[in-house]
Amino acid sequence: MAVIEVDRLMKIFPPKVVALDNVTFSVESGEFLAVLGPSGSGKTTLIRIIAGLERPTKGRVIIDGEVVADGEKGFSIPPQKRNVGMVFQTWALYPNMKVFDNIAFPLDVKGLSKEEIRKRVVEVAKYLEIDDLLDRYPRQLSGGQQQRVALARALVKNPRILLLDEPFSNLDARVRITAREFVKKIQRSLGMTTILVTHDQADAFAVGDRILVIDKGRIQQLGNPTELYNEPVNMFVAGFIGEPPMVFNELRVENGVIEIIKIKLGDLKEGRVIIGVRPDEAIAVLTPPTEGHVALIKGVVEVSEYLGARQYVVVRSGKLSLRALALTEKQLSRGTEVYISIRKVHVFNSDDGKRLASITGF
Amino acid sequence: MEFKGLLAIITLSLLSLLWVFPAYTVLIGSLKSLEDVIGSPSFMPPKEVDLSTIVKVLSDMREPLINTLIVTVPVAFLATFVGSLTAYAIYRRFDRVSDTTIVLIAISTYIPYQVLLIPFINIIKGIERYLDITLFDTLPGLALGLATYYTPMASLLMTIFITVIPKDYIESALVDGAGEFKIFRRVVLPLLGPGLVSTFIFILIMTWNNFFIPLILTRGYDKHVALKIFSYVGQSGTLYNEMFAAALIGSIPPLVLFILLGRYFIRGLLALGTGGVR
Repeated sequence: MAVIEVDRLMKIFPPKVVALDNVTFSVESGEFLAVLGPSGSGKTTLIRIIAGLERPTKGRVIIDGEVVADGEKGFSIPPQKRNVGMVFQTWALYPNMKVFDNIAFPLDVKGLSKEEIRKRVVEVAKYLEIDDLLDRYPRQLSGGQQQRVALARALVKNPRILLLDEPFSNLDARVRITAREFVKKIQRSLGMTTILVTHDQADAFAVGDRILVIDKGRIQQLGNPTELYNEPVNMFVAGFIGEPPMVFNELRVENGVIEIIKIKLGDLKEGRVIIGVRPDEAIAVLTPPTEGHVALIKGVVEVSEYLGARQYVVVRSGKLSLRALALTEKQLSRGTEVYISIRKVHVFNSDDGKRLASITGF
Repeated sequence: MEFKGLLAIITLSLLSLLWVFPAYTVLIGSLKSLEDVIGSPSFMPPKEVDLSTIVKVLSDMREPLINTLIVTVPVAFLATFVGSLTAYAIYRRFDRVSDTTIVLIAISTYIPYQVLLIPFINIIKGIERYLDITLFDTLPGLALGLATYYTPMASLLMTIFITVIPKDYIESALVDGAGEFKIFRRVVLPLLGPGLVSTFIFILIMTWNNFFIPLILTRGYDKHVALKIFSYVGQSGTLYNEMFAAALIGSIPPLVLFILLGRYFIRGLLALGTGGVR
């Protein structure tokens, strides 16, 4: 059952900044949806409209079957009446209140009794393993602890849905990994329908059941992580997802064959295409392998990036330049002649960037 | 470095003299006898310290001091509170209405209040007739006059202070189900602390030192310290030593307040500079 339905959502900030353009999707009960996009893509506007902090210009938001915002009718239920839990990027813990009072705040404004509030705050604090911090002030906590307090405050009122706005971006790299696991674990065990907004693909891949990629206010692709990685619909998604990012080259097509990499294309006989190759799907080797590739090219190492566990090399072959994973013990220095065994090539339309085909060796 | 440091100290010392000299004159003037204060240059120390002037003036000043306290403290409280409400409303709306409001408030604080006092008296008389109460020459009337003029100024100050509060706090409280009054009381007011103190001190000093509004709105000299100090200027001559003593006594209460709450005042100003209350 869909808990959140977003229907043709449009948001225009006067005079004419289009933050969201015809956005439609739904989130199933208990699903964790990650909204991934670069800054200025409209992802924060989207989550703010769902929370009720912004009004849509057009389109509707439906939570649990209840229309909470309708742009055409010009109505939007205020955030107080939506029963939505939200964690802000800055966590927004009230600095003048102790952790207990921070978590108790949503219950306190509801006018619950003191005993009831204490019972529920302690319960949620135990659940999030912060029950020993209740007497402290937010400034006395570490980033990870503050984030848990913010999560506790969002969950204590049993919200219909949970919204997380870049909740990991203020954490340092080490804490971030455990925080992601923790959030995912809590979300699973509560079965809480959740939307997370992030610009960091690692966040999205770590927690999202499905990922919605958004750019310039438009949905680019909605799918599970494997789909996004293996079948990106266009160059934006292909380039945005994957680390290190996919490398693009514009090549000519003659008689249905792409130049240099010598790959046969079905329909297109003459013209230009853009090919995309992920560094992890292009292997630089010294002796040419006999199988496992869709294309094998010979080139010269231009740049060598040694990362300890892995080594990437930028290899040029004529006008084609690729980044490839070097599977050798020794460092490949500049000027070394190597073969690149390309395992998978994505072919994009050079006019609109849509994916035409993916050719894989396995 | 040495020379620059020395130059800075000398410049600062000379500048501070500008402030210290009048205060010094007032202090020693109030310790002189009448002959001494008229007969000797104002910067000369007294021939002999004469505390009788201060003692005499202190008993004269009792009533105006108490009256001024009764009037200015509630006015400063009221102006600061109303100012913070105004500031919150403007902060929350952030549209053409709030933009216009803040411009109007700013304009009203820039207009010299002397220009407005005659129409203001007419309004006060009108209220008196309409409600059948007395405001002219009463402490509530004086308080009304001061509050009318200084509330916009408090609003303007609080509007500046409130911008330091991150919007996330308010939006988070909205999502958590709090209404505007609850957000104001539980989240905004506590975070405004230094700003409230700064505004309160500022308005208290402004109303304490105000001369013209009490002069127009009251009769006699006993309802405000500034009037009482002025009362020592006679038609035939001025009792300089008593006037100096009155000025000294009259300026002590705001000074004490500033010393007690000064660090909050400075914290308020600092919060503006660093852009954060935490």
